[in-house]
Amino acid sequence: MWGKGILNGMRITMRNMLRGPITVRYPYERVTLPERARWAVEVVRDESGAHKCTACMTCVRACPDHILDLQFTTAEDKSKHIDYLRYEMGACMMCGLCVEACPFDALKMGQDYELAKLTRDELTVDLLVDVAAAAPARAKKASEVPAGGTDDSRGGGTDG
Amino acid sequence: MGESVNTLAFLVMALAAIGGAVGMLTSRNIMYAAFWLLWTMLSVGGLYLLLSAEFLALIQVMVYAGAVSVLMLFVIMLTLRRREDAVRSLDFSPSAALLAAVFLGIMYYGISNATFPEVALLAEAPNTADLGVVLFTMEGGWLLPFEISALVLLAAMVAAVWWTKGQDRR
Amino acid sequence: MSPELASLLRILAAVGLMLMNGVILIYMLRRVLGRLHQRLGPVHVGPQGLLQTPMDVLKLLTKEDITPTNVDKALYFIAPAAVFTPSLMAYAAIPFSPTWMVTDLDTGLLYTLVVMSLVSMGLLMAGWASANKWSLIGGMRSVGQHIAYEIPLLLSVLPVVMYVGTLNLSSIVEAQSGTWLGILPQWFITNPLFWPAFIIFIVSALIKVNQTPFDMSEAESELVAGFATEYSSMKFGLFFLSEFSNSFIVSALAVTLFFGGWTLPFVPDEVLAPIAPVVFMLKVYVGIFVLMWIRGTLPRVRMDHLMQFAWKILIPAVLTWILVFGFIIKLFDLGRPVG
Repeated sequence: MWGKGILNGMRITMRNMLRGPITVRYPYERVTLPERARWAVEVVRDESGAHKCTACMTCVRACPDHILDLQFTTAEDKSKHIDYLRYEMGACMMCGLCVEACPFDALKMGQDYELAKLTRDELTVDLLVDVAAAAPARAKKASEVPAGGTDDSRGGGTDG
Repeated sequence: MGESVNTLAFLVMALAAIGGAVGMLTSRNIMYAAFWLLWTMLSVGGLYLLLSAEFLALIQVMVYAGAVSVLMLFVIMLTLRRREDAVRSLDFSPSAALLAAVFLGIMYYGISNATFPEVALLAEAPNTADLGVVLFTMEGGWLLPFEISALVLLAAMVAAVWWTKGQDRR
Repeated sequence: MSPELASLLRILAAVGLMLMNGVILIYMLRRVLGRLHQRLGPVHVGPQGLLQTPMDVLKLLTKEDITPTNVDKALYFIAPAAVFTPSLMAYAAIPFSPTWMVTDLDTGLLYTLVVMSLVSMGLLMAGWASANKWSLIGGMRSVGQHIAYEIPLLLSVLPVVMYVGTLNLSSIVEAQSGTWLGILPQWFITNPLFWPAFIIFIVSALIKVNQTPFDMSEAESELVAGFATEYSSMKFGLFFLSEFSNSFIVSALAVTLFFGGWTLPFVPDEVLAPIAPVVFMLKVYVGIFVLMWIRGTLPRVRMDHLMQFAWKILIPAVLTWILVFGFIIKLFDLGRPVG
């Protein structure tokens, strides 16, 4: 009443003005994103470059946009072979539900925010192509490490 | 030089005022007529300015050009149902022509027979402060008429407000 | 130099000032609004983005001038001039210094306000001529709010006129030279008697500037660009030039009436005389900055609230204040008539 709100607003804008601009002049400078920034989905790889995906299909079912596509073939000894894990980046809304759903921490939200592409095809990303699925249980049993399986991946599913 | 500039200015303003009035009467588009009227008002204001009557000129512009014309434009816009309605056809009406002719005759007779008082031009044009002295002090002699006219206008305004209030919202 | 030539030169100077002022104000507006929003504003073209506005002016000048098919041709062409001319005329009575002014009008204050009130007619003309509903609504709104706020604007300057007994702007400025007891400058703003009038003046003068708290006539969210929707190229430029020039005039009026015009306290006349125009311009630009600050802060007022505020609050308030003020200065004999 009586313009008190107006004066308060004027005070706030003046304070903002004195703080100076917070603009990041993007092409010339870049920000370092906070650790938990959510951009395009990536596959977690360890030092040797091995993935942790067991082709369990949880992420595909969790995705609200139905943009993850996982095709695999099961061999006679029940080991799985991933044909592809396809990801439609252009339709992704970066909700992170697939990452939360993944029981093996095989997926993560990436930090790369420059996602503009020149063609439509580039928006379809093959995260994994033609690799053997990780099999942590089998690896523990056989105590040999097949393609990328690490044995502690089942326990710590939810640290995020 | 100054004299010829004044004459030129007078000619321009007078022609503009008459031209505006003619334009207002002859334009078939009612919006044009309103804007021509505005133009005439402004020209008359300019004529007052040439007579060194600054205050009168400004009041003319403010009241007639600024308020009355806007009022007319508002009325026109509120009553027009479509843009095309702004253009009216020219109807010929014998009775109206007769009335105009009679009016013209009376005006011509009146003006040609009138005797205009000879007033000596003041050496120095009175300014706005002098006008204030005449209107607002007892010595000026126009205080009472001024107050009476103010009261009449106030009463008219109150009446108009009361009238427009309507039956149901009283 | 013959007086005719001198007055012609003065008019040309006013045109030049108006054009320069437009270019400067666009840049200033962008920078100030940017800073108020913690942004940078233009930075790319030229050092600190200084060349941005000249480039924009070039763009406006070289743009294709489109005339839509169904517009009312005559009024469509006249309207920008009808908006631009009163804005230019308003410079005539502004005193930049004791000697720098286009003309020393006896009724300068009334003249400036009256001429400014003609701008809205041009806007209505533009709105109607465009044959576009947005334009028409924009024009009507503009005229409606101008008419409504004209009254408190004219009445709010009355206390000053009653106090000094003149409408001459340079006399009003001269009445404000000197100091109160050697501490405060004797500007009217330092006198609490003038504060209500000043507040009402600023609120109703914001209408003339046609900017955010009161920019219903071109509210982008509902009217595209209001009366300027169908205009392109330099016709559009004229509308905006007039708008920026209006904010200069409003600020200049506020400075002249309440902030002592070109006067400075504690400065002897001999020192002040050569720098008076600079002092005046500085004060005016500070005033414009405050206008932009208000613009960057307040949201748009809804149209019916806007009109209600004018008719139901501002006008009764200003009428009451004039009555009270008149009693006060008559009872205590405070008026200081000039000349």
